Amino acid sequence: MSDLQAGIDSVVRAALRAGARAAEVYIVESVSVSVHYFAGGHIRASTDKLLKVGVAAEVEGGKVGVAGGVVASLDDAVALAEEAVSVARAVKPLEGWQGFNPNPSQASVRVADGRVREFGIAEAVELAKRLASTINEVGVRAAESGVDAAYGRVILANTESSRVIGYEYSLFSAHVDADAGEGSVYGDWVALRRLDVEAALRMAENAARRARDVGRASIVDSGVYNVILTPKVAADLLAYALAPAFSGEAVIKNRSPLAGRLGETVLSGEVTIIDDPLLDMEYGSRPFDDEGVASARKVLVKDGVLKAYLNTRMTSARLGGEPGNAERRTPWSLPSPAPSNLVVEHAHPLRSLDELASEAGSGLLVDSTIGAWLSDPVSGKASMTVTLGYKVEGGEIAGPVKGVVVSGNIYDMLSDAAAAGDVECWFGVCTRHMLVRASVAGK
Amino acid sequence: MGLDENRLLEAADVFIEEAGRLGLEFADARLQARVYRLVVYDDDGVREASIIRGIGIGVRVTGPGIGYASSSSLDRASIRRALEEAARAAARTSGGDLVRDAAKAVARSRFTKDPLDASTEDLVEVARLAWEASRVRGVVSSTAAVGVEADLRVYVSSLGGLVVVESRLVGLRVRAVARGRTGLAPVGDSWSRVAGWEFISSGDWEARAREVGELAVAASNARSPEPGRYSVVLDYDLVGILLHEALGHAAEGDDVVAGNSVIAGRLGEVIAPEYVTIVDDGRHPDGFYVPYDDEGVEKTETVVVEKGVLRGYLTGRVEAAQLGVKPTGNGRVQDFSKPVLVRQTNFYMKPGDWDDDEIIRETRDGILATYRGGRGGQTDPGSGTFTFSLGVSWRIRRGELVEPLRGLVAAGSILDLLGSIDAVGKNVVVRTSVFGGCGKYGQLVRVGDGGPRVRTVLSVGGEKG
Repeated sequence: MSDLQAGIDSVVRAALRAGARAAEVYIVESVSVSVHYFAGGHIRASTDKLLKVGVAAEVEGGKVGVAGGVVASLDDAVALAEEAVSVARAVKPLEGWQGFNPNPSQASVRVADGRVREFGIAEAVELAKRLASTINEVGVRAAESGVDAAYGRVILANTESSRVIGYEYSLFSAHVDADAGEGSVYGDWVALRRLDVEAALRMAENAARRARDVGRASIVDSGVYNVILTPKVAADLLAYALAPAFSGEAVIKNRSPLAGRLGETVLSGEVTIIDDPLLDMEYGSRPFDDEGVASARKVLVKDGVLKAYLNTRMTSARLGGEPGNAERRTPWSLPSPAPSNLVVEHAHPLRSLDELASEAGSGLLVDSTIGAWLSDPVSGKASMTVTLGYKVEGGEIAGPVKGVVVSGNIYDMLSDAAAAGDVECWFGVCTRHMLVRASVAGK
Repeated sequence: MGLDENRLLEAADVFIEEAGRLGLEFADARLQARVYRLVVYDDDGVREASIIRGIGIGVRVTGPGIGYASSSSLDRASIRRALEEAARAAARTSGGDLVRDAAKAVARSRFTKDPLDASTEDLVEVARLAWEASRVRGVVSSTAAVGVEADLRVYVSSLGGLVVVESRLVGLRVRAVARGRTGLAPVGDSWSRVAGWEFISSGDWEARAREVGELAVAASNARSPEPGRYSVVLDYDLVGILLHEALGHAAEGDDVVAGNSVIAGRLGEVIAPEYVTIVDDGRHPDGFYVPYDDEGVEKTETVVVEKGVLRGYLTGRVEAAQLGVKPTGNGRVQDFSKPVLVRQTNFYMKPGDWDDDEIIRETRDGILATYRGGRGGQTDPGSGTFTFSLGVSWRIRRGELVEPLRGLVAAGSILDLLGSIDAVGKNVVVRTSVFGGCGKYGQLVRVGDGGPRVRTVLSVGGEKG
């Protein structure tokens, strides 16, 4: 970070010169490679080197303005500092403002794989082709494949402390669309901190095998079903229908069904939920949150009882509880509470998916969905549309299904759920296979 | 606070010189300067007041494949480096044919008062008044936001193409959460226009914000319907989202060429009833402003479905070369740093001949669905499945609206949906938004969508009984 120290100093000096009482600089720097392969041999490749800077300035006690952008160097960010001050002057004080963190610090957790930094265009093109050929070898056509590799760093500094903190991160992702013909396309992806070519190839092979089922899939009758969610599907649903309810900001602003319920039973006694930013090389992990508070594990729900909310420094001053859960949606946003890795655990999981299917007897297994993000965390209404699922009949996985909407109240679904298999982490939510009771809108 | 057009044009000249010096077969570039201003006002006061700036150049080189690179610095060395990187990427890839032509044009959206000149205090005051008006009895929390976007794009190519497009987009958004008999209910709405500050300063936002609050209260006392298949009358704004998700993405040429679309290879086939005509037009006055796309191609009206028959796809230069057609002007990027993808502009259905009220009167049993409080949709073009959220809606029985409904999510198959349309209204509404847009492969672009009121059949998700 010493290479940016001089630039950071000139940005904060500019803010102070313009009349700021205090200022903070948040920097995300990244180098990335992206390759997209289309059936027919058309391949597109791009490289990016981006420096994104957000400058927050405080004037006269609690009046805060932000300016930001993609810049060529921190010299350009000096003008942003002046703009942030001008915006701050024009607004009223932000209620509950705690100032910038006077004690930025960081915990120890790995989130960067150096091999991703070395993964260049040639390697990405090679892998995109291998993903396509893996699909073709199963007798299915590779419609598209894509590979992305990004390596960067996050840096935070402010006028309240002489410490500049930062960390390096990596992100490796791959996606495919496998086409078995006649409207039978299955798309899938992986996103990892580690460079894991084998995981990408396994994903492609699985997509090819699933693609055949999409074309044969039919709609089922509407009704109430036993529904098995894979960990990936469950993670997606929990991320949108449940996670935002833990935000201290949502609690304060009457946008959470968990408001005023600390110490109460909110889920069944089987369920424990932990926010854990210290899981080695996981998607949501980081050494410090976006306010520079050192990362720490936080128990949100223990045996069904609500123990804590996710907090920024502002919300923790108002609600009590520890901060450390701040996230900036973009480098130029003010922080809001958000989970890092949300680990959702059931006390007595079954051993395997087969046991779960036996337990279900008849119902649906949901393999992939769209639209889980349309769930409503304010009311707890969860919903998702199945792009590929399977009937469960007599405890066995049977014919394919698609185009139905699975919905229900996420608190009821989670409380009554049976879980099985290993914990898997997908995009910051860690959970197992889950058997839930849900409405299905079909025929 | 303006956009530095001269700086972009000078950099465009440097790009041409450097591309020539490198002896490249073909190169083009997207230069951009952008300012985005946002004020968010909520229960604590001004939650966010920000100004975001971006400036830079994204280059594309062909030979034999296609390579991209970008720089947020516009000096000669940075432009040369970007060209060299893009050329190296193109050398390692394949399939770099694209339709080559060169247009010269300048297009600017109209405004009376430049919204870049509005003060932060002006934005805050509008947001504050809207927030206050939304706080009707029963509302427990609300947010109002004012957004302003100024975007200047310069397209330049080694063939001599040079197209300048400048636009202003402004808008207001209100979201309210109410607590009622059936729990907490969030409802939101937003109003945006390609226009200047005059659109904001002359609007009756307090009345609209109040209505959002009232809708949230109604939703918080409404129940969900039983899940199942329903005859659904889709209001104008919802038809837009539906068409965008259900057909628009499937019509995007990159997915068509890859075979990743249920309407690939079906030109000339009947895919909807004969009273259905659907177009994509970059110049609709109520939509977003795309008179030329980000490849310098003119974006006029493209007929995708004409009287029920699939007539054409949306293409950029690359897909047009692969399909052997003229590009339709749908090659777009989120910003200068991104590669070109095929994206919709303003995708909407043309009017039919039913009166709006007649469609409801002639529905025995169904749902009138609006988008007020809906949050968007998503599609899987390969499997032909789409989904979207309905806003506050109404149960229809024997041609009358009998009770409000809340929080519905609908899904279906693209081709079943089109084939089931049995009534198309006379009044068309097209809308855009400064607060969001359409996402594809990690890129967000502004779009417009809309249509007339339409009746069709959909699966609707509710809550278990």
